[in-house]
Amino acid sequence: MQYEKYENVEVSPDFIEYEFTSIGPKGEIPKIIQFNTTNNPEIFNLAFGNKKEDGSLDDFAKDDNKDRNKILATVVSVIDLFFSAYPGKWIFFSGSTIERTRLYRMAITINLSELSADFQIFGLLQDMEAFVKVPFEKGVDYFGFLVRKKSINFTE
Amino acid sequence: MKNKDVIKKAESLGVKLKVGKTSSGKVLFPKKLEAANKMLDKLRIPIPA
Repeated sequence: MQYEKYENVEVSPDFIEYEFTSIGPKGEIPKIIQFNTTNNPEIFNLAFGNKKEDGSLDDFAKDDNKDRNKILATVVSVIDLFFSAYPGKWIFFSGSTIERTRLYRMAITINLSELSADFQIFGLLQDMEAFVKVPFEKGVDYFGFLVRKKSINFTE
Repeated sequence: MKNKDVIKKAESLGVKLKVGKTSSGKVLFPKKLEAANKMLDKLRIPIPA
């Protein structure tokens, strides 16, 4: 993404937890991203939010620190780094609220052509009791998102 | 090798990656993971494990 991003990111040695600091009018707010294995070992869940003093994650926080695009660009970079450490894996994410899931959908929509160059992006739709994975399309409300790094084919 | 690859990737993305942060060693948001599993377990065509 062409947005400015936070350059200083700390990561755990297993490349599962990432931290950076949001800086804006509301001060410095520590952000943490954690990837957790789901019941399917091929899929990691992405959790993202503010790091509270006890180390727990608050993904309901609304900071209004005027750096939303910078944060989203940083998260996209972290996703890319995660895929470098865990090639071939999938990432699942959804918002902590319907509104936040919609915000993620809008962020993907705005940057779809650029993101599609590097990632395969799917949305999850509900169909009766099940969920179906469909290629991401603009204007569709999804329950969550599945992303995988596109593999590069060096053969000519 | 993994370290080198990821740090190299970070450089290409303009990120100064500092490896060595202490891992919490636990799931920081278990409800979120639980919700993800509920959805992913109901995928009509599961992703091959």
